[in-house]
Amino acid sequence: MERRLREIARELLARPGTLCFLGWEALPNGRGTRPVEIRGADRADLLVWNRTCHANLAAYLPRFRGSQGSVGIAVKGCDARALSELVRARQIERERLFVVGVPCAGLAGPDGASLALRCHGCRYPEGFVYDATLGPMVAPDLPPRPVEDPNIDAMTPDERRRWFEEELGRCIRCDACRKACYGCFCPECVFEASRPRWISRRDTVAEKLFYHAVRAYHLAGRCVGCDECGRACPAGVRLDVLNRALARHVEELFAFAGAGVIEGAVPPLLAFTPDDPEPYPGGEP
Amino acid sequence: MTARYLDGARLAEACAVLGRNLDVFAPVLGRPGDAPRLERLPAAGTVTIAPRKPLLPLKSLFLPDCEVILTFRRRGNETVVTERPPVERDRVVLGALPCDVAALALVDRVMLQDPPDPSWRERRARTAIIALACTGEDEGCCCASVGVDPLRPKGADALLSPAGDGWLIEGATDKGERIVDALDGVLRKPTAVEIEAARVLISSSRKDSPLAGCERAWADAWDTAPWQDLAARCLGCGVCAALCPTCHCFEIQDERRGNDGVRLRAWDTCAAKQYARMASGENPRSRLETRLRQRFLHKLSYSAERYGSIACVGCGRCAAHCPGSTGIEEVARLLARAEADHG
Amino acid sequence: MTAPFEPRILVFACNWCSYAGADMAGVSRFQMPPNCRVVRVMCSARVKPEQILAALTRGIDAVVVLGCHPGDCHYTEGNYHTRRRALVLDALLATLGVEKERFQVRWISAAEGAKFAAAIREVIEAVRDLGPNPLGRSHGTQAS
Repeated sequence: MERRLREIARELLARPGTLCFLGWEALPNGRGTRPVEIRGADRADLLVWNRTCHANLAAYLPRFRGSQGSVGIAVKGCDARALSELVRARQIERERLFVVGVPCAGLAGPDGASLALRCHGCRYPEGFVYDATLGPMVAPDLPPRPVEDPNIDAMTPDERRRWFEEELGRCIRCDACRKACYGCFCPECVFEASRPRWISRRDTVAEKLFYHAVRAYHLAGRCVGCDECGRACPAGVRLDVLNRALARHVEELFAFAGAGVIEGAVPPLLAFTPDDPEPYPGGEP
Repeated sequence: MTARYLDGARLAEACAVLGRNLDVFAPVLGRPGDAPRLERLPAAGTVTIAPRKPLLPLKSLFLPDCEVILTFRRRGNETVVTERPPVERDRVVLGALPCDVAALALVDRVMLQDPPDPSWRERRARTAIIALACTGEDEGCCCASVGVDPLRPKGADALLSPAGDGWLIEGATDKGERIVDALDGVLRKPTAVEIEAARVLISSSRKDSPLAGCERAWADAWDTAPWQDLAARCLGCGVCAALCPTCHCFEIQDERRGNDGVRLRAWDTCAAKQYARMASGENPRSRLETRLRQRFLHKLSYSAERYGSIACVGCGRCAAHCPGSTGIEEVARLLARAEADHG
Repeated sequence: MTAPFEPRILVFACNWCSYAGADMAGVSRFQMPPNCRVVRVMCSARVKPEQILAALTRGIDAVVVLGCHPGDCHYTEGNYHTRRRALVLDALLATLGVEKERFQVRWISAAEGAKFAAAIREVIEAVRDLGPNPLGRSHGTQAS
């Protein structure tokens, strides 16, 4: 598959009007991969594909807004969902992209052998048209999440609150999750605004909860479960728990297939119907 | 300055003894698999004196993530301003790593310039640092390449050298010797075996990093180095700055509620888009590659020019946590290669 | 002897329906309890989720958003957005373990003074039973 990926990239980069190809390259120490932006056809041999290609390259697409030229990009299933949602949100034009689908059977976990937590419950987009694929783009049948993964549904509300206060309390407010997330592309983020200033720099659990609650809300219906937020977090905070829980609730509440699964489908927070259910306390409309 | 010995089993006791008169900070391990954190004792978790870098470096105890520097209150036509004392009690840090200790001296170069930063100066004056002779944590460690002696670090008030199930402990300054004296009841004479074990410690810190011999102005790096390539992979996330032992940029924010308010000093990073943005809206470093250029030339070139050495202690945190797996060592290598190519 | 807990409740009321309804309640001799701070907004959809989350994470005991009945919004569809947002916020707050009584959306028309009064009383009592918002403990206190 790697050879084919390089061939496709080489061919694309040789065409006039191609700006670059986004893929993964091996780390200098050989243990893992990282994103790479290839500009010359002669450097296409840097491209690799293996179980350590965690990076969601779609996160790099919004920065091509306003420039010219086509961009090639390699995407796994989760990345393709992100890309699809970015196109729907008009952050990048589909016509500018040459999307190469890479059929991923699951990424390596932290020990290199097991399955990454993010891969449980893998969903690919349905019916997405790739410009090229390295194989059939079908979601692999992967085992469900382990039960000991914090089972917040089984907790009482009080236990849940304590769990999140403790987990999110370990956040060091470095903003890496926000920068790594494909869905956080606002030119001025709510947390960067100074008039009004929404968030304080104070090192309190309250501010951390506020930060992560707002971010989760902004991503409701847009989170694709790629866990780049969790990978970027230097403190190892389990950010996936809140974002994935909310994604699941939104999908159930509005019979929504999931962010980027059905091309062009509008995420629930951007739409409404006159027959939406009533929020708590419910009762007569 | 004869060395004494602290049994590992008596560490908790030692912390308690020191805690009578001082605020004691030590690396605390919470969940398995997490990095330790420097916390004020007592803290949830196990105190772990080991060659493992704490998540937030020692610098964070002297320049905290966010601190209240003064409070203000309006009374009629007057505003009463009250400065907050940075520390209530004298402090001691146990088990500080040599890279982190060396970094404090690098930040001193800026913070203790005239006029000195009052908060930093007070914290430095009122904190004793007991360093741990470090045998090296991982392949990211290259403090030995940038003038740090991981086994006998400068700048510490006392030194713990691992031997057997505990550590030799020696004072290096008056402040340090007073601490060792205070611990007298918990310490004992080391055995000959323990003295020898401490003497033959070996650090795995690399000496061959491209950071070695970096102490000069990289005159042409502004133009020649591949900033665009670095920016292509960089997310601008700022984790490197959040964890860096020598980063010290901050911003000031006022928070007001009615007639009361506080002035906060909080960490900032030149990697952030808004960092150089001015009130007019003008932003001289709105592009990521210009911010990366600023960050690395500051650490490698401008610091060397101004102070005679680079502002990096080779701890390796940036490379270890960068989502794009890029650290300052690689940047130094790229600068050198670019210079060679263009020279 | 500490004073009994009196909840602090933030109420957003839309100008056209629910604020008028609140006014009607006042005219009908309803005494607004001191627990509530009412903020008039032009439409319930103007209330940003950030405002609601800021209030709750920093210790306000409950937030109530009042708007026109769906279908009657002065701006045609504002309250439909409010309803969607409220559904998502309900899910978010439930995930975080915040009691559902602490965030409520109610539809109150300009003529429903009695309903306004009843809703306010109900929220205050429900939240008084719950006790102070546990999330407010760390607001304003420095971590180290």
